[in-house]
Amino acid sequence: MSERLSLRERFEAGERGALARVLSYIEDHPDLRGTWIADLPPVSAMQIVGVTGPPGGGKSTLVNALVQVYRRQGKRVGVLAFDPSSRRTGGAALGDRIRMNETWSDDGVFIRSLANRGRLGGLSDAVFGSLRAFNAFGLDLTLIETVGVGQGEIDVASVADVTVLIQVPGAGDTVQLIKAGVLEIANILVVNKSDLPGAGELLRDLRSLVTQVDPSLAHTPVVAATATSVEGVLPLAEEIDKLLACSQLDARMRAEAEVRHYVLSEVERQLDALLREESGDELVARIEAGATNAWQARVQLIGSLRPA
Amino acid sequence: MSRAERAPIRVLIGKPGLDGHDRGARVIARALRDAGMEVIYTGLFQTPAMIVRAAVDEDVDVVGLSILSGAHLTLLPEIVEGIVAEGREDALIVAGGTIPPDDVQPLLDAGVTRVFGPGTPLADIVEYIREHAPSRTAESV
Repeated sequence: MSERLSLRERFEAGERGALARVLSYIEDHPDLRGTWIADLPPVSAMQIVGVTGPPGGGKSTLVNALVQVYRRQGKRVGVLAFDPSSRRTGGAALGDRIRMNETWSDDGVFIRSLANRGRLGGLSDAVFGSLRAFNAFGLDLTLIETVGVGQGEIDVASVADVTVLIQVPGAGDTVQLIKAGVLEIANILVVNKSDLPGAGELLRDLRSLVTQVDPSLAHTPVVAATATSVEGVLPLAEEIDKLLACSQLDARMRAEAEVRHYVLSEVERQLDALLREESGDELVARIEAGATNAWQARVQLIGSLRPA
Repeated sequence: MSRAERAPIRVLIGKPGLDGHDRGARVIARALRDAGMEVIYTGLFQTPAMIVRAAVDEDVDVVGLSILSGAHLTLLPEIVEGIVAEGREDALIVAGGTIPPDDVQPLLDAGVTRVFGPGTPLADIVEYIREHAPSRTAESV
């Protein structure tokens, strides 16, 4: 039956297998030129919530609980869950689904695992197209789970309307909290695993950080969560909803993030290729030998980039 | 338009049914990852319907089913049927685990493409998947 319908017709009819295939197409073909997929409109009605935090901080579990909260609100929910690709082999183990079993039979939930395919920053190039596909498919809200982040992977903030940063007890002292980076991009700070020892202290430290220390974080909500139950994330969901109601990411900002992403990705791809070529090899050897330095060599390499 | 040359093969590793041993599944997942594939692991205790849903939504090329409980003749055909019913008859479905030799043919008859017994070298599994995973180059959008 479905053989006779085109992918586009199946997508427009709301067939999830067609959405799944469109997402693959977006991932595999960064150049969508000439396809209807390239013409999917920018995200309009769909709300986007980013969840980021360290590996093992409970991002998938938290997303799983939030999905259930939003289902109770009657929203159709998408999840884009990112994990890292191996720099060596390009392979990836995508394990976020393991924590998202409760909603497997729910037709109002669509979960997709993505590898970052070499992109630093916590997401992949496919995030923008995937969001447009989710939006066109009629989903009301998408949760983006970044790869486990350290201190500098902040791309999600330029894509999501609201960014939630998870912190967990026992991950360092208050000096960690005065460092620049991922803390600055959070719209909401959440202490997950708040049933563990040290959670109260971390909450207190974060609250003093946002109220007394760092004016740029003023009014950033700090909430406790225990993501293993839906009830454990209700205070967080309330804060997210408050922010969603009053703030949406500027469409212009998302467009800028997208083009920036593609340019950097193209430069990185070409640079990888250049450095593998004989001339690149020689250049690196000359830097190593002190005949030139990397700062000078950069000009030569930038000059070798080709229009994509 | 052809699929990007470097696009990795996507594989779902599923653990259907009620056995709690997934070391084999995790070893396979790791080996396929190291072979450059993107491997989605479902976790333990999955029903056939859960595995079918994951395979469809993740649009995987390959479904690998690890089963040690003895329920393979019941569960695996159900998964194959579900995947075909979703229009994914192109997906390569392979199985492994403690499957007695006498049960292999019935599984192949049910649409499982290949059964890997205990002791199969990882390299053999990687090679088989590389050779037989469907290519989406024919896909038109």
